[in-house]
Amino acid sequence: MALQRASLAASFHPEKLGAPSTVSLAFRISSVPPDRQTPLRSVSVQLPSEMGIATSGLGLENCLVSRLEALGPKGCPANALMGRGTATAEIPIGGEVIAESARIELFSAPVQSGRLALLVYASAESPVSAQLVFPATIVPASPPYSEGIETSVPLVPTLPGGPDVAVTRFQMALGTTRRGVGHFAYHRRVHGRRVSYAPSGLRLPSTCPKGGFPFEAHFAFEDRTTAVAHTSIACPRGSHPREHSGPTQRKRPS
Amino acid sequence: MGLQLQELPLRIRGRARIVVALGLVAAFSCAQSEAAPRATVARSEQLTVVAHLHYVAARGSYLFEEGRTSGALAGTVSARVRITADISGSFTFYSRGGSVRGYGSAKLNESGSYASFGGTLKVLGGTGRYSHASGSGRLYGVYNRRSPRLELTIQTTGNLSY
Repeated sequence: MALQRASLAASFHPEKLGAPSTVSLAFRISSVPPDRQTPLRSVSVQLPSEMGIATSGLGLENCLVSRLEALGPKGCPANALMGRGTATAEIPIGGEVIAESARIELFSAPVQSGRLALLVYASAESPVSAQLVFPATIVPASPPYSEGIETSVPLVPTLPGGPDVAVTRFQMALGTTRRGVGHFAYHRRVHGRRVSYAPSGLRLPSTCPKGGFPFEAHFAFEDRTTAVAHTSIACPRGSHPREHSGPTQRKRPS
Repeated sequence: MGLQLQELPLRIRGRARIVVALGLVAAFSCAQSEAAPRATVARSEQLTVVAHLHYVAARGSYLFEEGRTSGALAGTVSARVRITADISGSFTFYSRGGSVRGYGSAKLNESGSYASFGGTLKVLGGTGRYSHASGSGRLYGVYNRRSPRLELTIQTTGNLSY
C-alpha cells in the first residue's frame, strides 16, 4: 500500500482586512513510493473563523443538478457560479502515466438538509473524456475554523481493467479573479438594463488571528488511507493580530 | 410592644409567645400582600414580534443589523448575526419601558438571492420592566443577499415572562 501525502496552499486577493476577497486554494497529492497514486474519494477544506460564504455576494442564484448534467455550465444561471479552477489527474495507460487536466466550476445549489450546497462540475477532454457533476456541502467546523467545504469525489474509470483516475493537483478560486480562467461576472438589472459586475467574494475579518488565517484539508483515498494538510495566510503588513475571536456587541440603535 | 415577656407568669408567657408569633406572621403577611402588586406580579405573554433590519456593518461572517419592530415589543432592535454553515445570533429589542435580549440559532431553508431560515430563540434577560425577562420561542427569517443593504426580516413567536 502506497502512502499518500498532501500539501495545501491558500491566498487572498486582495489581502485587505474587512474587505471582500477572492480565496485561492490549491492542493497537491503525491505518493510514496512515487507513481503509486490512489484515487481521491473525498476532500474537506476548512476555512478560517469569521469567513462566511453566505455573507459573500456569491451564489445569488442556484443551479439544479439536472440542468448541469444535461446542459453543462450553460444550463446554470450566471449568478450561480462561485468559482473556477483546474484539476490535474494521472492516468496510467500502457505502462505510461499521462497527466490530464480538467476544468472545474463551482456552482451554488439549493439548500440540502439545512446546509448551503454546491455543485462541482469537472470537464476533461483528452485522453479520457469525462464530464462529472458531484455535490459539495458547507458544514460547520470547530475553531479556529468557521466552516468547511466537504465533497465526495466519484471514481473515474480509465481503460477497461485499468486503475481509476487519481487526482494529483487541484487549484481553484472561490470568487472571481481579475483575469484568466478564474474570471467571471454576475448580472443585475439597473433601470431596466442588464449590467455586469464582479461579485464580492468572502469578506475577511477586520482583525487577523494570531498566527495568520489557518486552513486545513482532509483527504480520503480509495485504499482507505487518509492525509491531512495545513497552511495559513500570514497577517497583512501593518495589521495587529487579535488574541480573542468574535466582535463585540454594538450599542443600541438610535 | 410595651409589655416585656419576662414580666409575665410562665403560662401566660407561653400564650403571649404564640400570640406574638401569630402577630408577626400576620404582620409579615400583611406587609407581603401590600408590597405584592409592585414586586412579585409576573406576566407571561404569548408574543409575536416582526423585525425589519438593515445592514450596519459586516465583519467576516458577522452581520450587524439594526431596525424597527412591530408587535408586542414595538420599538427598535439591534442584532449581531453570524451566518456560516449555521445561522446564530444575539438580539436586543428596545421597547417602551425596557429592553429584552436573547439568542437564537437557525438552519437554512433556502439560499439564493434570498436566504430563508428557521430555528429557535431564548430570552436571556432584559432591562427596566423586562429586567427579569425569560422565555423561548421560534424564529423565521429572510435575508436579502442581493440588496446592497443586506436587509433581514425576522419574525419571532413565543412566550415571554417578565
